[in-house]
Amino acid sequence: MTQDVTNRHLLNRLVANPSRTVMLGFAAVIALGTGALMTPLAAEPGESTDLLTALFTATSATCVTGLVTIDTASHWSTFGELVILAMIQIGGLGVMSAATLLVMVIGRRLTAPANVLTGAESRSIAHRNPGQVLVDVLKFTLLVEMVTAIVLSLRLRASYHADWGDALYSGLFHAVSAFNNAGFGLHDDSAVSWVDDPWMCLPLMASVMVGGLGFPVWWEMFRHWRHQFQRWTVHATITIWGSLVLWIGGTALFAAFEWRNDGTLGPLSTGGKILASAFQSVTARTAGFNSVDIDGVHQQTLLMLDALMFIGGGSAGTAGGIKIGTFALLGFVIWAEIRGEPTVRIFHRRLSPDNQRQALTVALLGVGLIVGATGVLLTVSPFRLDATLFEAISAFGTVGMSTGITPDLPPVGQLVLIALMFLGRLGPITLGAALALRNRPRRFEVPTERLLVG
Amino acid sequence: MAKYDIAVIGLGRFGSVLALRLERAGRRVLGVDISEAVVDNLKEEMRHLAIAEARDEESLRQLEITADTLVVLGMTDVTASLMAATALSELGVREVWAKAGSRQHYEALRRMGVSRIIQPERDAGLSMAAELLHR
Repeated sequence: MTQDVTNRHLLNRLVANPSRTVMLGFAAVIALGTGALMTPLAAEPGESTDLLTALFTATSATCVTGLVTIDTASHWSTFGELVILAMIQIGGLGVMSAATLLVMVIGRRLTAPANVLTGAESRSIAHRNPGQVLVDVLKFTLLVEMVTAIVLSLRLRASYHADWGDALYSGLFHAVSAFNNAGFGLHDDSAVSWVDDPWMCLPLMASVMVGGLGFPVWWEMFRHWRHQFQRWTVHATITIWGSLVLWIGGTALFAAFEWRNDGTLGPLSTGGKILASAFQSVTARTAGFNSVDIDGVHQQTLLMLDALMFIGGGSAGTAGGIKIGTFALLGFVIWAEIRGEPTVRIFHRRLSPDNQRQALTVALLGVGLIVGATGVLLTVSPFRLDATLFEAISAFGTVGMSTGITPDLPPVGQLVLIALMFLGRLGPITLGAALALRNRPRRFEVPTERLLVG
Repeated sequence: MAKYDIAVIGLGRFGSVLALRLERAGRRVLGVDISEAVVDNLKEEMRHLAIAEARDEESLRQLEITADTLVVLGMTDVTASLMAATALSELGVREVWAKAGSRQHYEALRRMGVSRIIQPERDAGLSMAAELLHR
């Protein structure tokens, strides 16, 4: 009992200002990581690391992006790589737990305590014990990472002539990187050498998708499987269907655009082409591994990847972007408006107006941020619109796919990307939470007037 | 300086005419009523309007009615009028004027320290009597 009260007290203090807590936590991890990466121990013998490189790498790892200014494998020592791995893990877990807790806090503030009303155990994740949920998040993460690491390691040992140590290390590194949607690889060509190897690509894809769906969806799937309740929440339904639609649609478009491109899919077998397309479609939201050379794809493919990267994955997962839920919600708003409906309905449930405004705010601020950042990148660097826009969206969506311009950007450009990664990782979550928790009931209203629209 | 010179609470026939007249004379006037329809009817002509429950002190505070604002209570409903007067006195508003619909209403407002109270029916009757006597 006492224990429980203490826990609740600590949690209350942390959630009194959730946005600030999460921001400060991430900033602290990035600062520590930057310090650790700047030590000579972190770089290979003969290499040294300046502040900007260390800061960029630390931000990229903690915000699980995967953009790099220097090659991970050749620059960093094993210690440096482990530091990066630790930051990815902390960043991924941090985002998942923080977002899950925020979901819970928001749920509790916005709904009456279900057990008070019905006397029954609540179905909603919002009414779980926070400590237990964190333990579940941790267990879930470790389980998925272990399974992926074992499969990858076995395959690396069997087919790539790696000795056991190398295979286990590489398998673990890629498993953690994939589950956390970080996209850091140990090869300078990301996953290009595995492009037509289903034994490598499928576990990576699965891990990325699992991490990207978000913990609340997995929790719900688990409950559903145990027959503890029947109805799916709208959030889970939309996230799962949205992921499938975006994945299959992205695969089809990627394959269609690139089928005969000699720089990308051209040389592969039919099966390899489909595998590579599916892999690219998954990792665009938002893991950032690439099994084909992104610099070689057509412009229309870049645009499609831009869209996928911007949308991202599920809420309270390791993915970035504005999130599938936000995107789908705006789609439903548009549909309701076109049909002239008085309210927005999703699967027999009504969306509250503040929910709609939240989605609009997150999405449009994201667009504004990317447009502004792209403008700066165009000004300070010699690169063209397609490449700078891609890099900006990749940083904002914490994707980490790159057309290869990041290492050649001037320091100002790299700082812009650092800011984008930080805001893209924390902005949508904390902004969403801040909007949902906005606690200022207004006691008066003013008369209505309509603005002309369109 | 207070945000508004005058706040008119209760925008019925009495309150709305008063508020509009003051606004046209260039005063910064806030009009408040509980009914959205009443407020919406005035939106073409008045700049500062609010739909609010005036008996709630917090609402009054959020409407930025301060001690320096002159508040006119235009509502006929005795309960609403007295509750609003109470909330205003708790807020420290120094000058409250009011309209009273009955003698008892007048009496209650007076005892609460409302400085100027008019009783339209009574006042109109008296003024018509005065007119008749001067014929």
